[in-house]
Amino acid sequence: MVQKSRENTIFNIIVYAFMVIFLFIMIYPLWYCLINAFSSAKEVYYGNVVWLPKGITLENYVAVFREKSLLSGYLNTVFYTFAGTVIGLFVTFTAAYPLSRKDMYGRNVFMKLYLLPMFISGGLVPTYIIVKKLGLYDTFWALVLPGAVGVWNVVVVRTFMISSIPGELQEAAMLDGAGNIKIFTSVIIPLSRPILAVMTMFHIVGYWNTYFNALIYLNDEAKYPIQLVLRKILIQNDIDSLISSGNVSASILEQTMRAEAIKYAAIIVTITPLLVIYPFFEKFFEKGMVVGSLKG
Amino acid sequence: MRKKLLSLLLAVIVSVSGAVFVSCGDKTDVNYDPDNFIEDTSNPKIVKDSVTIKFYVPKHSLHSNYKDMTVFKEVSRITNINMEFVEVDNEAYDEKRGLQWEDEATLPDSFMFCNNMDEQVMYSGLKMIAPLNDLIDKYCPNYKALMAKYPEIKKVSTLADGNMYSFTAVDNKGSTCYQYVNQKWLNDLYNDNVIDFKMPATVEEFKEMLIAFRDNDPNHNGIADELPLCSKFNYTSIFLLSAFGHVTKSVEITDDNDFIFVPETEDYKAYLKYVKELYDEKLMNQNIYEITDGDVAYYGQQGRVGCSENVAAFLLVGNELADQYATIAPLTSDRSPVKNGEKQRVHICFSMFDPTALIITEKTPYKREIARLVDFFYSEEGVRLFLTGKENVDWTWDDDTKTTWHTTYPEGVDTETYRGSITPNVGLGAAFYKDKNWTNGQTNELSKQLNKDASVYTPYLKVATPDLIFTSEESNELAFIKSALDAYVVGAEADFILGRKDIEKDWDSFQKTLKQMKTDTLISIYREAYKRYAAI
Amino acid sequence: MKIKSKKAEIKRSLSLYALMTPSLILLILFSYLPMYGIIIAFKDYNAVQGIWGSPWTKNFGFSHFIRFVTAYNFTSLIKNTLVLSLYSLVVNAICPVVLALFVNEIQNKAFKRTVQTISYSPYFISCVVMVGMVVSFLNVDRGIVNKVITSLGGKGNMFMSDPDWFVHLYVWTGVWQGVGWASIVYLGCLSNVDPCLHEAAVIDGASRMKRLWHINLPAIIPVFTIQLILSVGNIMNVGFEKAYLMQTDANLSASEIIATYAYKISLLKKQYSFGTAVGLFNAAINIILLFIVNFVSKKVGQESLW
Repeated sequence: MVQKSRENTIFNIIVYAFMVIFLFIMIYPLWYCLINAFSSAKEVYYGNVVWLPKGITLENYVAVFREKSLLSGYLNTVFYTFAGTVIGLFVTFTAAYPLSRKDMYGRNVFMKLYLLPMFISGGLVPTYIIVKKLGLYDTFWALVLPGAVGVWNVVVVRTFMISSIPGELQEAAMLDGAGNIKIFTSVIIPLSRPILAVMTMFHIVGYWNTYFNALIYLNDEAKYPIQLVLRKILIQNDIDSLISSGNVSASILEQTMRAEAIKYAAIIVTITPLLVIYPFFEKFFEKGMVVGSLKG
Repeated sequence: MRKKLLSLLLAVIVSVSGAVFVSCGDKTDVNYDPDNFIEDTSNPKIVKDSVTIKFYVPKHSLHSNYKDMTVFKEVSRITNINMEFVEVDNEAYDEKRGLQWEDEATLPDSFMFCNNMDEQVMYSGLKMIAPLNDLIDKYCPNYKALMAKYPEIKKVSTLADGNMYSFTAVDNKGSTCYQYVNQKWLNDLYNDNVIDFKMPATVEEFKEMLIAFRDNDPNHNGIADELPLCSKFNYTSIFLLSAFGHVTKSVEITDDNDFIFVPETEDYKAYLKYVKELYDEKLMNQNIYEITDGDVAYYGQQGRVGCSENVAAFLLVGNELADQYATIAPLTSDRSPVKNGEKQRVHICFSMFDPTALIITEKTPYKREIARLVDFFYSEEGVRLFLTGKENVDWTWDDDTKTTWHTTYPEGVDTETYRGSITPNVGLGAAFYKDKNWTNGQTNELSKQLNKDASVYTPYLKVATPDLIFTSEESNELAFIKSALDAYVVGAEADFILGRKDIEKDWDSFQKTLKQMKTDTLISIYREAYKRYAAI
Repeated sequence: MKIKSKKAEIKRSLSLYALMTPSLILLILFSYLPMYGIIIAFKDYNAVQGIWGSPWTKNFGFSHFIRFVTAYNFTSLIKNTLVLSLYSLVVNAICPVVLALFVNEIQNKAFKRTVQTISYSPYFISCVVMVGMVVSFLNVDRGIVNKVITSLGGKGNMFMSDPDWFVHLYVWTGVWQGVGWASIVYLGCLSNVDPCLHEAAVIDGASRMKRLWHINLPAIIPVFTIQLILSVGNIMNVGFEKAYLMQTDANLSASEIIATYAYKISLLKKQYSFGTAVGLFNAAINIILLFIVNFVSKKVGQESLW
């Protein structure tokens, strides 16, 4: 028995040690961005900020929100995410429900119709031409509509409806004289809460983080989402766009330093909303992921 | 039944898609009034009643909106043409622009700047771009005069069908990049007898100088914190390569008008060895592929940089230290070309005649109007306006002789940002005609200094290849070869310099790979194109 | 009689069709219409003649494919794509399992919740921000990683311009982002393990390590297999966005994969037909792999994917 508990302790130590290291690896990069975002530009540039912020300041955040492109990108993203999520959820659920009905005439044909695009896609140029011809180019619809029907999402939601909503409930409702649409709104949707939550989160994440469609379909900088603005600043290192709105009399060095610190503040501002909301959806993740891992 | 449903569905899809694809109605302006145009080129007005013409332009982050730029506001006022702009962010410009051609209905009337040759060849073949020869002849007196003065214009812009499709951007001074060296350090070391030259002239002396920078604490702060050569590598590497007789790492024209692929020469091998020496002995910054302008400025302002590349010294080290720096003339080595018993220096020259300035789409009815509008930018008045802004607002003459002038930008504003509100000639260097007669007249301190910095290179400028014109098959083949080849050369050079590959041991396999990547085909395409070029 | 019932069936389904209509319209517009575009892979497409009108290429329409397969960089593109995806596949298959097994052993409920919540967080970071962070952290002079290396007496490394590092960076940053998220499924499986099994094992004197190995791990295996099959079927679809964003001139020899090449050759060099052919080639390999995997998994008694 003594040996048993000793073995147990050792095992616990290993588990907890592993977890502590793991947590450190998970958190530190984010923590690093956070402390740098709150530190003075000089300390950030010299790489002195390692554990705690140095020369604590809110200047970087002020700079982020003073920078026209970042602010407008941010507001655009909020709007795109909201509108995109609403539209995306609507088409996903209205597609998934009929497909989950075994008694719908032609169900298999429709199912194949929804599945085929998973394997073949027409590619960029033809899609672009369609978007242009429909007059969606350089409008926010171009970001939302082409990807609104996520085939994978439809399949997952459909699987959930088949596996988790008892067919008897629908039959009972039908016997009460409820039509299909009535059943959809008053039986299916309320019972789909877990998957609805997961899909909402998926859509929010997707739209919040999208940049490629914006790169191709948007022309007007005023319509850019935040990710596209960030690409310019973080990856292409285009600090001109930051300098232009900054203090003009600053030296190049100061401007460079400031740009470095603003980067971190911009990162924090961009990722915070998602990091704040996901714990609210967390209890549904397991359900959603398990359904998603089942066969379609 | 099920099959029927499926086929019905398919039928619906097919017909709908067909309809969408076919329904690309040609929306030409039916209201075009030919009599509204003013033929008389001496009249600054181009149209009687104002018309709106749409231009597709690249937008840099330093640019104001085009419609708010002084230049275009002025031009609109003078010509009575309302210029409308489709501004496209220069970061994603190539993608968007390429796709723009796919939708003829929304093509603009004209593309201003960045009209690369491949595109001209491709879309002139498809009759989507208007030939300019007649237009130039009738409506562009300034441009015609310039063509008479510089026959190269016609050579670089005439396609295989004998037509010109783009106006040529002319820079008759020949712009280049500058390699700066800390003159004060050099002088001190010379006076202390550490080195026996005032400015290095050969690769050996250059290295000796860098060693002296490294070991003798020329900034006198007691720490060996000097960075002898600290620079982004792209143009510095070209500067070093030029000591071995070449100005590009790609295709280059030789003195007897043949073409070579530079990485296939022994000169390139010698260059690699030299750079590797500098790198291994820590005479240059070790992070050559990652350093940014900001990083160099950071070291520069601390007074630690010995030698670097930039367009102006003050951008490198700030205003206080800028006078310590001077441009260094191209170096020579034992591989430099020899002419009349003397080693020749060469320095890269960005092309002086760039047939990319503006094209007119075939579908626009406003071809004559656009031609006249463009011609304005080739006039004396147009050059001044485009490069500097309005007289007595943005610049004034120094005196009544009207030979020299200076800018009068407001105090305390960032010059580049302010210029971005005047002209697109910021950030991208977009221009129609950069006339040295005008730019050399500027007497602001800075520009005098820059003119002096540039003069070191003027006698040695060499263009890598003339702007050859390729047929559409040729440019397809070139795109195909170069997309792989360019990436390979960059990667291999990094491998050699950083020591991941051995220059001696792996040289042959490097050469073999280049051959496999069809450098021979590349060269023969250039030879063919040159034959046509020489014939014009 | 039968026909009548069909009619009734259709009639009853009408409102369901109505529900589907919005998504069907979008599907047709943005998925099916563009499929026409695939034709250009077999044609010499140009803007004026359009998709239908452009001439077919030689070799029965296959000359773009032949050109790609015989191109010098073909092998290196395939190699880079495969190395990246296989490496990614293996690491991303194993890490979540290990994590889930460990997390499952945490006895303190609150700590377990915390670990889970935190482990999901990187999943919500966009590709752009992720790569931006990587670039900043790995900056050769000021980046935290190189600072640590040099302070430990090591030599700083230009990670972003080193082809050898690209693959590792790509894969392990991917693990950082996805490991917590991917472990959710396995934790779900583990919570469904019958406690009786563990109790019986404890009575038999099995150590925790033994139970982990003989009870928990087998509980995960079925889901693990399905996940693995799914990823094998997706093997050629290496994330284009991340690879493209992480490319630098100096690491191209490892970072140029089929997807980025197709993107550049079509959008930057305007070789739309050739680019589409390259993309199609990639998709074709993928579909073939998917069918093979599905066939094999059917044969060995696993569930098939469809």
